[in-house]
Amino acid sequence: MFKTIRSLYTFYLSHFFAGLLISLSCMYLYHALGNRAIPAICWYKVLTMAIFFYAVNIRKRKEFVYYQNLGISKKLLWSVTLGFDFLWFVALMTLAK
Amino acid sequence: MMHKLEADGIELSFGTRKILRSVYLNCETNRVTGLLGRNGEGKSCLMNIIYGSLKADIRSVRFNGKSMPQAFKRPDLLTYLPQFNFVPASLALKRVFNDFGLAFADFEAAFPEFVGRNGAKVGQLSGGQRRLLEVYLIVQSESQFSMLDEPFSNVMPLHIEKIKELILAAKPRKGFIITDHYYQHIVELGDQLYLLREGQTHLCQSHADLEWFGYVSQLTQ
Repeated sequence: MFKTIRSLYTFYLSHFFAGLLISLSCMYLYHALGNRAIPAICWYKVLTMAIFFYAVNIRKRKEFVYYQNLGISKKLLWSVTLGFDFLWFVALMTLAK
Repeated sequence: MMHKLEADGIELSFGTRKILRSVYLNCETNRVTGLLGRNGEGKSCLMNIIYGSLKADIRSVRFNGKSMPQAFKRPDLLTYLPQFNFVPASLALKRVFNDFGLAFADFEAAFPEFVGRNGAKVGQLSGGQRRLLEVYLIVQSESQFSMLDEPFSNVMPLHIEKIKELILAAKPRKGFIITDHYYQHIVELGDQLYLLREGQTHLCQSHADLEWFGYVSQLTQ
C-alpha cells in the first residue's frame, strides 16, 4: 500500500506545477473579473487540462509501463492526479472569492 | 507450483491490413517460450495483446484456465519488458529496487560495475546500463510469467551471457516469453519456439524448421 501511494505521489508531483500554474491563473482571472467570469474560467481550466492530459500521455507514454509493472493502472494514476488538481482549483477559487 | 499461460484465437488488424490471424501461444512455469519473426510481423503487438494494453479484434488470454483480458493489472501474474526504456529517468536506483521489492546488493553482486551506485538516478546510466537494469527488474520480479521484448538489444555480449544465466536461474519459479532479433540466444534458451509468419504462429521443433519457414535464410541474406 505504501509503495502504491508513493508511486502515485511521484507521478502526481511530476505534473503538479503545470496544474497549479493553470489554477493560479484561474484564481487571478476570478479575482480580477468576478462571478461573471466563472463559466469562462471553468472552460479555460477544462480545456487547458485536456491539453495537459494529452501532452503528458504522449510524453510519458513509456513510463506508464513502469507503473503497470507495479500494479498501478493508468486510470488510477490519472484519477489521483486530476482529482488532486481539481481540489487545488476549488481551494484557490474559494480563496480568491 | 506449475502455472500455465495460454493465448489463442488472437486476431488483430489495422484498417484492412490483417496483422495477426488465429494466433496461438502458450507458456508454463519452468519454460522459456521463444517468439521469432521478421520486423513488422506483429511480435510486439502480440505481447501487448497478451499484456492487455492493446485491444485485439478477438482474443483469449488465460492464466491457469482463467480469462485475464487485462493482465497489466496483475503484476503478480505477468510483468512486461517493452522494447523501449520504461523506468522513469528521475528515479534513483535504490527507489526502483525498493518499488520492485528486490535487493540492490544482489544486483551489485551480479553486475559489479553498479557497486555503490544505488543513489544514482536512472537517467545518469548509459543506454546499455539502463537496459540491463530494466531486464534485471523484470526477470527477477515476483510474477508467474514475464514477457521480454528484445532483452538483448543494446546490451554488451558479456552482459547478454549474464542475463541468460539469470533467466535460467529464475526459470524454475516462472515462465518466460521472449522475443529478440538475436535469434541464436532465443534458440539456445527456448524450450519451445514459435515463429510468427504471415500473421500466424508456427511451432518450430528445430533450427531446420526455421530454415524451412525461411526465417533464418531471410535473416542472413
